[in-house]
Amino acid sequence: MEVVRYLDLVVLALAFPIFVVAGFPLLGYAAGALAWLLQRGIQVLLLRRAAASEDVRGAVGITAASMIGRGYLVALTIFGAGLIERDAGLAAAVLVIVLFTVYFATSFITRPLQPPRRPAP
Amino acid sequence: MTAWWKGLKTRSKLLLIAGAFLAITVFVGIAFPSAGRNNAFKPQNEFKLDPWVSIKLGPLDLSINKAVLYLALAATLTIATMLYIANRMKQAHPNRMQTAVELSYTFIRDQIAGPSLDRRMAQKWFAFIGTLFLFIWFSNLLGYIPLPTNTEETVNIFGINVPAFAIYAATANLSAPLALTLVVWFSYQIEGVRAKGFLGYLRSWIPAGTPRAMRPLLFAIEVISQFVRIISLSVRLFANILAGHLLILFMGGGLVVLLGLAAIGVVTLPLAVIFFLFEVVLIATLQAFIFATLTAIYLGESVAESH
Repeated sequence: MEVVRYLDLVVLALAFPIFVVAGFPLLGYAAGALAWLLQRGIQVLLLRRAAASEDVRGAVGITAASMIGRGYLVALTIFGAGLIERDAGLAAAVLVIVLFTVYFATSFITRPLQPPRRPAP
Repeated sequence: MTAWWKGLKTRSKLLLIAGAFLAITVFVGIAFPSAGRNNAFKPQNEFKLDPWVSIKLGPLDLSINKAVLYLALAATLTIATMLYIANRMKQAHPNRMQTAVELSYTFIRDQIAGPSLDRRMAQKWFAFIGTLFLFIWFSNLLGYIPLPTNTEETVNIFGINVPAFAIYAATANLSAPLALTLVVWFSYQIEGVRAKGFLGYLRSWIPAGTPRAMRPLLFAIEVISQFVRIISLSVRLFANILAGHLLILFMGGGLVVLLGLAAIGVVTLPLAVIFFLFEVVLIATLQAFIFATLTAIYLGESVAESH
């Protein structure tokens, strides 16, 4: 089940040879991959922190800020790549959307299998 | 920093966030001035149904398009889930997946079918209502997964023009909710006629104890209400899903592209994230729940002793 949970990262690795062989801008791959890995890392860290928090409002705040912040991070990275090279921005956007599709679809499958959150003592 | 932030009043925090947003928007507005209105971008094309495989039978257009793909995906998922539920129910040792499956089964039985139908009707119609709920739910949820279905815009990979990623839902097209509504409408009308006879069923539309002089008027109102149900049941689902998709589309970048104004993206992007979550977490499930619950209510009402 761990492979399914991180299937987006497997797809990210598989996308690299496709970018190389198809001659897509590697700057686009680098930008898309960097943005995706960073936001995934932040997501794991902040969700862990939210789960550990006993303050429900604080946990909701962390989760909401994380989602909006990660959205900005990805959008700005794509925007930056697009400013340097227009095609690289497009390639980064397509890569991120593919990764989001995989992540979002697999999260529907894995969510019911996640262990329930322990109630605060 | 954390202690400083925690020490602030909620009003100050909100003012700081709003001020930061305004400052970033002004900065982006100055750095990237308006590029002028983009007339090439047609947001309505996202919902256009281009025929992928053209099938025409006389005046009937039965072409395969992206709506058909989404319906097929939702149907496949519904059948797979129902089969999985049926098989899992036989397992002696419950695991986490079985618990989730049983929870969804109990939810449909106790929250949707149970309250509106008597025991006999619930047994008879549970499978239909459960399938309806799961089918609409899957249709709605699939609508938020970006899939390569936009044949208007393509990406060239190894010489193959792959359709661009887009979000679309079968329920965002009136045809699918209308077809489901007609099945529900005819089902409960037929069930009512079977239970009470044709004239008895029509008589049951008038509430008991209504004065004789008022009966024709109330009957006329009830006839209108029966037909309005076709519109309300189908349009409620269709309009909610379509509106959600339009909001996500415009907030997620459509408005920036359409107006050629990068600065508003600073404000619309977080709104897109919020709308997306709102739609996925609440609207997709709520609309499926409302449709299935109203089906159960209409079925229960059609066979009930008094109106």
